[in-house]
Order: sequence, then structure tokens, then C-alpha cells
Amino acid sequence: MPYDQQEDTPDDALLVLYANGDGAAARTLTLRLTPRVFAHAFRMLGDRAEAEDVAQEAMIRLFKQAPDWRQGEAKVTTWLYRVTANLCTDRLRKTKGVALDAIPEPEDDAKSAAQEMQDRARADALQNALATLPERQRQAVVLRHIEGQGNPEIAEIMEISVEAVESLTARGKRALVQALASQREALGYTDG
Amino acid sequence: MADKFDDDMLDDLFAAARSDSRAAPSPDLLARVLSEAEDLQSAARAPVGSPQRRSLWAAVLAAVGGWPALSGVAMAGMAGVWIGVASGTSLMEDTLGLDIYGETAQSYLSDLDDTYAFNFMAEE
Repeated sequence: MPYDQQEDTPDDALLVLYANGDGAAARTLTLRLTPRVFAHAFRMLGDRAEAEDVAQEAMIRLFKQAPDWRQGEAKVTTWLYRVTANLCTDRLRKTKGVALDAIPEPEDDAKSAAQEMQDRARADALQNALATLPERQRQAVVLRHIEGQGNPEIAEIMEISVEAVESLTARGKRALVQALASQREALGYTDG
Repeated sequence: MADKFDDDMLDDLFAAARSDSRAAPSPDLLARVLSEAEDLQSAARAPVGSPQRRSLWAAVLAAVGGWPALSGVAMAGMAGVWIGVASGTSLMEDTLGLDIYGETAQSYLSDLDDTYAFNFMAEE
């Protein structure tokens, strides 16, 4: 099946095509899922180089799993987020801390320089605040509020109940507010 | 009000994180992942090693279960011969038993050709 006809093909069907030797499926899966895996790893680790390693490893595991993938049993993204989170946990245990210095300069001509600077400062501040959260809280907040996953899917990814997800995200948000309290004005947020 | 303010601030920060171009993968990473995907795909489709050519004898031997099975077959054959011989002519009175005992081989040959039997008688 040509690449341009696979845009609407579900992930698990693409995995079956990939396992059957379809080259276009390899390309579609790579372009569709690598950005999500990388973004999650980046937000969990705060380091692009580390996130690239994790994303590559997670995708390799997915491709290796393809011949044994059972359609309809689990969502591909759920499986992938879980693998990515586990790989991030391994990395975090080895290297404590977050290296925001490693983040390269962004390039976005559409925004004004001032707006770009403020957005970057806000994203950095959030990333730093996220790094202060316990790992599970961070994972739940990132999945829910940045990556837009629903609570039931997060529960499946983290292998906990929906209530536990709600508790983690609520506590995570409170901790973020506390961590960002001293930077509100610097980030352009003034109360009243 | 503070909660609302905090929620709005967080929502704004989350939106900034979502649009952060640094959370996008580099073309180099995408190329590496695609290359890995293609390598794994072609490796999975390649035959695992070349099939070994076997001789007919090796194939037959494998079919019957290898050397242990073959020794069993040989033992069974030997036992069959021994039972036949030990039981005398009662089990093999027509042909083989007579040959082994060597008693009346001539009469066996005469079954095939009467003239042979005649000649034999003449020689006697």
C-alpha cells in the first residue's frame, strides 16, 4: 500500500503491514509515532540527546514486536508510551537531574522575537518545574495536560486506576503551581 | 480566584510546552529510526541460514529415528531370524527353513524345473 494511502490506516493495521514487509508502513509508522515518543521522552527527561536515544530504542522495540502484535488487544500508542516511560525511568535513575542547557535554539519565523523568547522562557520554566515533581506525578501531568491523553488511557499506560491518575494529576498541578510561584511575574503572569 | 489564576497560568504554560519546537524530533532521528525499521524488516524476511543438504541415507536414517532406532530394527531382525531357525521347519517348512537346514534343497529346485529334478535323479 503506497505511503500516501496509509494516512488513515490505524496503528495496529500498519504494524501488521510492516510485519508483512510493507515498506511504506515502516515509513508511516516512523513519521507518525516517533514525534509522540520523542516529545514524551523529552518532557520526561528534559534532554534532547537522551530523549532521542529513548525514542529510537522504543521504536526499535515496537518494530521488533510487530510480528507478534495481536490486533485489538492493546492500543499501539498505549504500549509505546509505557515502553517509553520505562526507558525514561531507567535513564532518570542513572542520571539524576535535568539538563536544559542541552536544548538547542528554536527556529520559528512566524512568531516575533519577543513572543518567541517569552514562550521559550515559559516552556523552560514549566520543564524545570516538571523536573521537581516525583516521576509518576510528572508522567501523569505530561500525558494529561501536554500530550492530551484521556484519564482511562493514562491509567492503562501507567497500570493504575483512573482515580489514581486523577489524584496524581491534581497533586502534580498543585506542586507545579508551588514550584512556579516565584516566577509568575517574570513569566508575564500578574494576578489582577 | 487564586485557583482560577493558577489554572489559567498552568493551561498557558502547557500550551507553550505543546508548541515548543524543541519537543519535535530532528530529521536525523527520523532517518535513523526509519533506517532501523527497514533493517529489521529485511532481516525478518531473510531466510535464517541456508538449508543443509542431506544425503538420501541421512534422510532415511532421520526418518526412522536415527542410529538408536536403527539398532532396534537390527535387533528385531536378528530376533526374527533366530525364532525362525530355532523353531525348526514348523514355521518355515516351504523354502527358507529347508535352505537353512540344507535337507532337501534339491526338491526345492525341482519345483522350478522338472528336468532339473530329473537330471539330479540321474546323477544319483
